[in-house]
Amino acid sequence: MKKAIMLLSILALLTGFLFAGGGNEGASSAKAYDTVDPSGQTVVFWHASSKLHGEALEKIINEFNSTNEWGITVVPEFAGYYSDIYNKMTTAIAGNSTPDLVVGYQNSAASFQLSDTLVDLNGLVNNKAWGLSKEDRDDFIMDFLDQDVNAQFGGQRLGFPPNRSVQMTYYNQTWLEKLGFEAPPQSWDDFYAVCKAATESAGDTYGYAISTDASNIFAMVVSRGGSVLNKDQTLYTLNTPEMKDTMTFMKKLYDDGYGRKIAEKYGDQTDFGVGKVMFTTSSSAGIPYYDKAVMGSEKPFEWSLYAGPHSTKKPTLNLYGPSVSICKSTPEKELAAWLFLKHYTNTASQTEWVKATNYYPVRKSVKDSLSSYLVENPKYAESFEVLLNSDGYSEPPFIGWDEIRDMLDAGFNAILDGAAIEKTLIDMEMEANDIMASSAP
Amino acid sequence: MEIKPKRKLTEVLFLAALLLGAFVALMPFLYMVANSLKTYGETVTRVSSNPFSPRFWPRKLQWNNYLTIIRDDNMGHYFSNSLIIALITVSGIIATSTLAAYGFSKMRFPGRDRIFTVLLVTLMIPETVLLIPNFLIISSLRWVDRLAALTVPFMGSAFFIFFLRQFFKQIPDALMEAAKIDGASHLTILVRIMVPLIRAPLFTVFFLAFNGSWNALQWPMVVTQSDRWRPISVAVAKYVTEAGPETQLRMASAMVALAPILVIFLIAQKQITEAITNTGMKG
Repeated sequence: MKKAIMLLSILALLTGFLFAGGGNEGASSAKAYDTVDPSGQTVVFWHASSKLHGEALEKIINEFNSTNEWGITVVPEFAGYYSDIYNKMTTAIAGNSTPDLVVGYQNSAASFQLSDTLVDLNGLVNNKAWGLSKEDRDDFIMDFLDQDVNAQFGGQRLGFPPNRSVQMTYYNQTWLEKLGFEAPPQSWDDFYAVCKAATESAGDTYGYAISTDASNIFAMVVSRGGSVLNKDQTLYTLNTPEMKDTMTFMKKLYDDGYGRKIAEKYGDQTDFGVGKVMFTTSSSAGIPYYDKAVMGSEKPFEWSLYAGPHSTKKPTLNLYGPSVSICKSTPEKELAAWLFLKHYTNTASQTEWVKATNYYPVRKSVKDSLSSYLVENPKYAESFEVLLNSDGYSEPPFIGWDEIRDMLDAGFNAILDGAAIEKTLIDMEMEANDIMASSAP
Repeated sequence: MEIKPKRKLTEVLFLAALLLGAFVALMPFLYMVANSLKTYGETVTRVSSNPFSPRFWPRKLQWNNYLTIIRDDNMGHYFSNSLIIALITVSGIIATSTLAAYGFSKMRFPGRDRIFTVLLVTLMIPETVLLIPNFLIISSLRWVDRLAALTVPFMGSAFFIFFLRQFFKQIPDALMEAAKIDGASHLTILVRIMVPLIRAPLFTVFFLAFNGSWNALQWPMVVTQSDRWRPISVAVAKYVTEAGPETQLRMASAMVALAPILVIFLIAQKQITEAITNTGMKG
């Protein structure tokens, strides 16, 4: 069923391509923008930032609109959450009415590019006049930037990141110390031991809130030195020793009663806030929510977060976050959109953006300008240190990854409920590679 | 007459089952009310599935949540947008569905039954499939981000035509013939004789169409580009982010969004129940 929906979605995008008359002609090579004048352009930006995030983004945009030397105007439009934006873009591609800038995850951008909708940003990033300077390149965290380079499209850069988040393990520090552990467990065996101790320490407590979400699976696999893709990124590898170890470990933890599945969305926050679970894994963007949950509970406690157990030399993290893509239009508009992106990711804007959102900046220099914020927000500061001392890995940016994510979630659930590990992984690998083959551009 | 004990027991059991059903149906509503009055911390840590437990309810009522959504998040604007969109859409649906249903049931013209069958077939087409063609039409008419895009496409409904046709068919043709002898036109017959006889089903159409329009989310997200005509459903969706939910604000906005539906249902529940009972349709 999922596969059918995905194929329908791809079909819709291809239909959009036909209706749109093959997309707009952009200027994608590095030299093509040399003599372009972006003066007076209006750029429409579809974003997903509401509430405080939306206000911060609007502030950054207003500043750009009032100070940029070319008289460019950026018009922000809240277009819903990422899935809403995906639907909106699908129809907009068909109606040839795409915005100039659109926010989305890398696999969504890849789907849009099936209809040749997006600008390959290599042409702008590498442009001598308008692109990134050597200082910029040294300052940007290149691992973040490279997440948007898509092997499925011959290395095209389909987006530019304004922020990133990571998957982290939250733990109850007060409880951990009470159980006699000085620091959170670094190996998977030690993690099991702490979960066991936490479960046996009281009546209705347990060690780990198991999220069956694909981001969590990915994080656990890379923490064992594995990957979900082969070396040249042409096939999914879901039946690897690292994946088997992950599933076997979690199945044992679950069967022994030291781990419980998260029954509802954010249910782990509830259990963590009331001191019922020792560890839970979640996005670093959730730090303020965890803090409010713990502080709002009847018995607040000390808590912290870390990269999680690992069998690699350095701790590993699942790195993710949406990027902003430029839709093909005229070279003038494309350049104007790029100039806004440069403003959005400069040190001053990034500082404001981080303060409002708790996301990680994409520039190293932002850390210096965040000094007082880091003092006021110790949990964020801790997590930032974890990020800087870990190796980051990102999920595949390919078309169909969303469907494979759903499949991984269902497969993990089935394994916890008793399905044979090896057979489930073999089946999932075959299905994932079918999806990859059928959705290739 | 004395009621037999066996019959009495059956009635008590039946009543108990009904009460249990009503309680289960009421639970989400109670959850919404309770959480709309909690702090964020309480929505996460002070939770219980039992409404008789104090943990189900807030320690102190947070009316500020309602103030926040109305004052800071401009909920009044979205609310009035939804009201305008729903009223225009419902008026259109009632006008077109009544006329078409009357035509399909009381008028004779070549191909009537075939056209009606084709109309019914359109009910089988999933909404998602129609998203792109509908958007293309709206886009070519330059209606994107306009009120027309949110109302006009929904003013015709095969379901409501079918629904009202069933009621028109129950009205004896003799009434229509008598009016015709007195010189009444089809429009006069429809307005002066037929419509008063199908008041209850029309209330049902009003309620169901209003409900559908009020709760629509995907289409308004696709055809709007600014807050100018965005409905309340879009505003409610704003309270979920990647990092976590603002559950207390989301529930407060859902309460505000639910209010008109609840009021309409309370006013028209008799007619709605009557119409549904008459057609044998379930809600």
